[in-house]
Amino acid sequence: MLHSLFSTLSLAGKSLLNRRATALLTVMSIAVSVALLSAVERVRTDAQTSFSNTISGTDLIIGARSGELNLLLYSVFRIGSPTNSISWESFREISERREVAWTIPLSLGDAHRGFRVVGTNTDYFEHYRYADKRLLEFASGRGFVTATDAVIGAEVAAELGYAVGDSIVVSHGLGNVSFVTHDDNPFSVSGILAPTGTPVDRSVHVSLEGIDVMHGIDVPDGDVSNSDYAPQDITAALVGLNSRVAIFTLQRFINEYDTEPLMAVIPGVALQQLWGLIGVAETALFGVSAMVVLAGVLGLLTTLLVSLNERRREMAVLRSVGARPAHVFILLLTEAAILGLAGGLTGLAMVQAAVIAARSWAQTEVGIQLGIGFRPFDLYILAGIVVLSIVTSCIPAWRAYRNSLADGLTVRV
Amino acid sequence: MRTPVRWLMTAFLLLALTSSFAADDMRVLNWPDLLPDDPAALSELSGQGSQATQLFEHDESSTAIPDQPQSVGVVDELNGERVLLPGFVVPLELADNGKVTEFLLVPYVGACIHYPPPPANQIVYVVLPKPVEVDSLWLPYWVAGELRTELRESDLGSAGYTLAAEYMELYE
Repeated sequence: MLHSLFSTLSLAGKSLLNRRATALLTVMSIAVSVALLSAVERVRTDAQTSFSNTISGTDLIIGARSGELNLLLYSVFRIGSPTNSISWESFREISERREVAWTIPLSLGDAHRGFRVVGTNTDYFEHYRYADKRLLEFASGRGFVTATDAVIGAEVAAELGYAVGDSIVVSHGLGNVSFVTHDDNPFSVSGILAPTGTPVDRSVHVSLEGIDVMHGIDVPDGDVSNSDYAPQDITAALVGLNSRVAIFTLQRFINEYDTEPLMAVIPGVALQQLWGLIGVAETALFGVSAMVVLAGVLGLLTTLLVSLNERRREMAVLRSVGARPAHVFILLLTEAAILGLAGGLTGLAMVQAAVIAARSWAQTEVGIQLGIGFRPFDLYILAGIVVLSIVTSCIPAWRAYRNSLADGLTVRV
Repeated sequence: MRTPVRWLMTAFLLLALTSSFAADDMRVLNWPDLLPDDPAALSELSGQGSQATQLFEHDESSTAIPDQPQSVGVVDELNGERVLLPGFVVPLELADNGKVTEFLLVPYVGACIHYPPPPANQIVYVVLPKPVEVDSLWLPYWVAGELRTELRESDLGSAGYTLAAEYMELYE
């Protein structure tokens, strides 16, 4: 039994090798379709993981009045640009309310070699939580002490090769290259954060004083780690409450704030809206890639059907050396299985290559952390494509079976 | 031949009994049940009503924030009770697959800005043992589990209910 299976496999393999050009093309068309399906599914799950893991334990995000998603995206995921700022007085008034346990001010809008600069204070390292309420940790160094200290994320350090003590120049604006740099005020790396898998990895954190130093505003000298420095304004703030039941009260207070137009969003609610929005695109993409897989399998069917005529003599020879019609049938199924498997494996390998190539870009541009390695759904796709190939190939296999019953050795091709 | 059948019958009977017990001891609640019915609480509630009228009439005081009515306390007898309560979900914490692990259960859609925010005793803080996919914030859910009353920080309007959920499903 095993022997006959092995000989069928080797026979199918050799036959395919003989027609390697068409076989290779078939494999490639299946590979591309599998790669597309697997990539769509991977981006979907990774996007959801990245977004869900980035913020945890924060009850409200406060910013200038705009849209819920907009505020969530620029404040936490560092995607897009802030619309307006919050005056420091308003921020302070909100921080001092009874229901507020902690606040993290965020001052955004500057960049260092393509990485976003986040102006904040030491509360950030004490209260910011991600992925199931984990706190940030330092891989080396410490938080900021002077106004020109910077704490960088793990990926910033890895990509730019920075170590604690290096000096860096921060530019105004968000671009990769800026023509307004502040050479006279270089910052120095005081600490590097441990990897988190969130946009924090790709951020350069400086003190609120540091942001003002960058823009040529004089700040008092001294320790910034515990100062009550009041900048003109900030961009957004994260808020934690003493009791989560008070969320609505504070949210209403902020949304109807008289002095300036502010808004507060509940991160979980905004994320849920994001899923809703992405969900539509996801379904469409999934539908399209499923169609592409179908097209790939139809290509396989076409190739096998077309090749049947050319291969009548091959089948006849096989019959003459003792193969039964059933063997011919199984031979074609085996061929299809080999093509499907090879196509599937190539497709999955292509996805891995693409993930490795696009990782850094995806993290910077769209804030999605793509993971390397195979997932359970990759296995399902692989199994699916093999089964689908075998099932479809029943049609050419049946025809080959009929032919081999009818044809003698003298086939006229 | 006979024994397995009898076994099956017994098992079935036992199952039926336990499930009916589970349903019995689970109390179906509605939101007014969470309000204590002492006179102080009632006066608070009527106060809330007058505030709403002011809002509609657009008089001077209407620019004031429709504040959360001060906590009117909780119904202590509900502490430890296993309940079934319908409401809307306001997600707070998400697992990494995007499913909800902690949320606030409220009597009307959380995003509703026409009403003042619900008072503390009309908000139930729900913790799920395992993440649940919430399809829509605009659809109500049944949530079942053990209710606890919490009396901390009552002056902040934060005394309220916590529910350790056992299961939840779409309200139909």
